[in-house]
Amino acid sequence: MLSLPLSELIGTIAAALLTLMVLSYLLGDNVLFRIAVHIFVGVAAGYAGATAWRGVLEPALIEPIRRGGLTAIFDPLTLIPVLLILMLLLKLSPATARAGGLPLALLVGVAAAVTVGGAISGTVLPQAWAAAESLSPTEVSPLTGETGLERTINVAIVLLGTLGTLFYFRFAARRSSGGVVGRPALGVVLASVGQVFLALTFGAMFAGAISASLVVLAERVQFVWGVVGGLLAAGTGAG
Amino acid sequence: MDEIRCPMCSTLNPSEADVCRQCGARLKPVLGIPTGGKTGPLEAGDLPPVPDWLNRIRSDLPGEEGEAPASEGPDWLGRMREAATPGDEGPPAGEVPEWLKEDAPAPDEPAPSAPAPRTAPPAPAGKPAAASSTAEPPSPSLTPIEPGTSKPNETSMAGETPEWLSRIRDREAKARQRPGQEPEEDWLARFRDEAIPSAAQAKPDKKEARPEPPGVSPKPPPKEAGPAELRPMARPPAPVPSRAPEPIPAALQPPIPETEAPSQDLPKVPALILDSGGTATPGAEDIDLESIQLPEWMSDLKGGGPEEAAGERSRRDLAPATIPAWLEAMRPIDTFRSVVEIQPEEEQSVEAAGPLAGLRGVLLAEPVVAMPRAPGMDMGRVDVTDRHYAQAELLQKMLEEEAHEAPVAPGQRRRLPLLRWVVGAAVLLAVAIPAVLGATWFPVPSPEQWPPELVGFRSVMGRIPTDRASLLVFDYEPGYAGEMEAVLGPVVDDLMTRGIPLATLATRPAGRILAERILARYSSLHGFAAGEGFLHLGYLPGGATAAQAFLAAPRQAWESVGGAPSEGDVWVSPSLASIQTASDFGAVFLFSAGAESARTWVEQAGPLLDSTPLLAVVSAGVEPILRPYYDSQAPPLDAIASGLPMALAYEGANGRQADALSRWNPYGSGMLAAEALLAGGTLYGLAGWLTRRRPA
Repeated sequence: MLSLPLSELIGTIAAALLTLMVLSYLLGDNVLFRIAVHIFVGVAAGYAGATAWRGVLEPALIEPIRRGGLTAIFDPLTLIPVLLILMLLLKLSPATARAGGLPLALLVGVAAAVTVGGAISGTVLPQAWAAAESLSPTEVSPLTGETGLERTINVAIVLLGTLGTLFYFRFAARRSSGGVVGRPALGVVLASVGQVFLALTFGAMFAGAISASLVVLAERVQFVWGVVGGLLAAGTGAG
Repeated sequence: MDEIRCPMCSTLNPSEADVCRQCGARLKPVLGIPTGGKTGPLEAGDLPPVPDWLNRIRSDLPGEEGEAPASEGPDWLGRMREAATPGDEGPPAGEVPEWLKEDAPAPDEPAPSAPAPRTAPPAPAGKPAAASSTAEPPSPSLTPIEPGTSKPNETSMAGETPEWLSRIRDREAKARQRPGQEPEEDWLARFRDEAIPSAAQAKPDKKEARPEPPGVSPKPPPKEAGPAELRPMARPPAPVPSRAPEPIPAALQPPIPETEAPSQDLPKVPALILDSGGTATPGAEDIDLESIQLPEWMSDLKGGGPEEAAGERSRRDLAPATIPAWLEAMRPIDTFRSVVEIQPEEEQSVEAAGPLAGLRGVLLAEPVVAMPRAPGMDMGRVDVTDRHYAQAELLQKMLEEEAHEAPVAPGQRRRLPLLRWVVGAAVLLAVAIPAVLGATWFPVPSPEQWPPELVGFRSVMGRIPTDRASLLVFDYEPGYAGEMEAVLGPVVDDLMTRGIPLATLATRPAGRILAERILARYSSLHGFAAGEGFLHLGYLPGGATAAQAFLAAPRQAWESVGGAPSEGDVWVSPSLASIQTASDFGAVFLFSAGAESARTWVEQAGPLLDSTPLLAVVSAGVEPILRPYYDSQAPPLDAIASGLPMALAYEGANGRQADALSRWNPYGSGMLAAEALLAGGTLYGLAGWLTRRRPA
């Protein structure tokens, strides 16, 4: 342990202490936990800013001007981003925030278009195809090689889960002849099935989160124990 | 110095003043009927000029050029008289009814003053009765009142009152008088005492204003609308009682103060005005009004016929009406409660300003308008139930509590988070004990127990070309490094084992560090050198848009964001020289711990990668989200790896045990403890639910 360079040794000890400070939250909210959280947030924000400057702003904005002089500013590939950046900075002041709407709208609009397009082609259509597979037992799944009743059941489950989930998020109701407003009986049943599928999905995600957290906890415990053991060994060896 | 009180505002003005200094009203009324060009005490010059139309009217009158006869009026007045004296409206002028003739004194006896209605029956509504009576020539059987010779209480006037009429009036007055009420004559007397002297003082030598009996609307001030000569004739009609329930016949009216005639030439109206002390006509006490057959017009004036009189008697005999209890309960009491308390007249204040200055007992507008009033709703009549009482008590209690100073509560005893401590300690000990002790409580899965995804993953890994770089996208935060490095470590190890050149791309600011960390760790094992075996493309900002742009044109996207200056021009590297699109990479690996970002990359990369495989190494929490993309019929995701079991299996397949094995036992112990806690919590909640249901 003591054989490590001083910077790495200090970093290792600081990491162990910060780990213990975060784990102190098990005892309740305390100052050690808050200090650790503030340190993490500050370091993350500082590092993100530095990365944005070193990885984006400096090479893409400052370096072309430095290399090409002031004439480089009039390059459309430089001028337009600069103008958009300046307009976005105007949102810092409420008086000029309106001018920052253009670059913000550009960002949101482009991101939404990209996301929706990808969702349709990458999620909606494949899910529809998966729900529209044949229920014939003679069909063979090209991916898993399943066939017969097993595949039919799997396809039926996918279809039922898809319909049920869609019906669960269908909030429209119809007024019956008796004046009662409500979902159709079939819709209610399918919505209940969809609710079960949603619960299973969230349960699986929660189990996965617990699993991931336990792996992280195990890694942290091993790290802290390694540091403590190394320090103890170093102390014992030194003694 | 004599002063004249303004009839309008009661302001005292000098006697010589013509108009009121307060309100500008005329103090000396222009008396009307021209008598030889002289109008009473007023000077001729004070009169307004006679309009032409009136001159023409005067000239049209036969024999009276420029001078209206005292006994005759204009044509319109004559027509009114004609209309007012039909046979059914009363006796003709000068005709005395038979009943009166019987009681009338002999012709040689001094004739008493005839009652006014006999000589001037009340005109129909809308017709100026006073004018008609004024214009009516005096009846030969009646003696006119000499102007300026009497006062209201003088016996000369009373001596002219028929005795029978006085008795009738006395009986009527006694009949109307109620116990505890002031006789009617009293208020009349008071009224005369107040009104007549003031009028006499204001106009000592002029015709006094006739005081209005109580209950009569005040007479509007004379308007300068018509010629002055016609004003006395066009005097407003006889005052109509506004509050009297029924009209009182003139014969039954209390004595009215005598008014002075403006001059001798003015038409004289024989007044049937009797004073209480006057003498009645002899023999009148024997007259029974009920037995007298009055003319129809007089019956009407009396207030109805015999039927109505009978009805009046029957109404007097009726018991006072009572309001039903339910109606009495609904009667809003407070709403109609008198706002202004009426004080005795002597205590009422005298108006000090305004057009009503000097008058006593003027209704004040302020109490009615400005002062607070009782609410319009009958709040006291609300049906109060027990619930209302309870709420009222609660409200009162709350108000009382707020009035008291709340005692300073002692420091609330802080409850210890025992449950949190128990759960935390259980999980922490479950993870720490195997880690510290190095116990192997959970056996390593055999190849038969490896996840089925591992086979597909390794199969895809086997198809990755080695002549071009594979892209590693680092899309997780340092907090997930403990899990992600355990899972992606075997993958990176396998890639380096296969000799596949690598290029890393970070979609998060800290991704570059994580990439350097994991590659530095495994490159030392495989002899990979930075810049040759692997390259760092740096941080790619922009989220989904940047991912889509990079997958479409990696080089342009990288250059547009500035690239990584420390790396130089990485695209000249042999492993990246042939890369123009994302499909030119040997494979794309997605290392992600975020569900949304992982799905975005899968959605964006699927259509652009063509045959280039997309492999995902994700956190265990993201795996349920990406699983459908792997299990679909045309999967955009060719392989997926997640979780420590997968990592452990992958290490076993690689033949190199690393992080996954070292964390397997702590992980297994912690999962066991977590499952036990979840099961215990579920059983506790179920037991509580059953316990709560049982009493119901």
